[in-house]
Amino acid sequence: MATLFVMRQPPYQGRIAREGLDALLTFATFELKPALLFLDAGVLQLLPYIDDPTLQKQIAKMLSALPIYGVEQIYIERESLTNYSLQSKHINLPTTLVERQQLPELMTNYDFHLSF
Amino acid sequence: MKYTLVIRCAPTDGGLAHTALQFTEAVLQSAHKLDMVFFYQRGVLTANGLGIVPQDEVNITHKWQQIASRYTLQLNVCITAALFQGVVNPQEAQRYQLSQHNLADGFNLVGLGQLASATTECDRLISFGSN
Repeated sequence: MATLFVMRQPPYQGRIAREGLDALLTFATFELKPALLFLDAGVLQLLPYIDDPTLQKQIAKMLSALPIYGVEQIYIERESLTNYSLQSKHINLPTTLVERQQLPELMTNYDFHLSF
Repeated sequence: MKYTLVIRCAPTDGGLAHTALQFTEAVLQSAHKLDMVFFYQRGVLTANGLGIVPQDEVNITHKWQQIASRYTLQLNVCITAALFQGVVNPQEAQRYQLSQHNLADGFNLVGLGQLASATTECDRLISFGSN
């Protein structure tokens, strides 16, 4: 049973992004091969260097560990990137760009969805 | 069909916390199976046994305790989120040298791995509240 984690919030708005990543990494540790989709403001989590005033653990650092945890299916929705004037060259992770129209099909590939 | 529920809204978040309770009771009364409810994010505040609710209002924590004792239902609470938000059981209070603990009876502090492994066994994962 495969789970898709959907990240929709900016990195340091409360602890949501952090809690989503914690859950994702736990699923990966259990070798459940979770997938990850960055959507809407969630794409801001992919920015490499953010000076975080709350001194939480750096989201970018946690994301860089994804390949070590065997998280290979990482998707970014293109329109969300464009809305924040970002391009895929700004992103340091091996990711797959998906179009908004492809999201329903992508979602049906996973048994469970958890949105953060 | 086997369900796992994830509660991510605080008991003070209003309607959603009640909807989750009603959904849980409906599943338990049906032919479907539900063994475990997992409390995560602000949902862990449901396990705070020190919340006092006005007498003419519903105490969400008590409701969960009643349901769990009536059926065979585990109320599992993410330990990391719980400790961060000040929900502590006697063992953790001792470990962190705190003078008090407040985990309500019937709730268990567990790791996120419990949620991960639940997805290997259930057919439906239903989540209440998120962002």
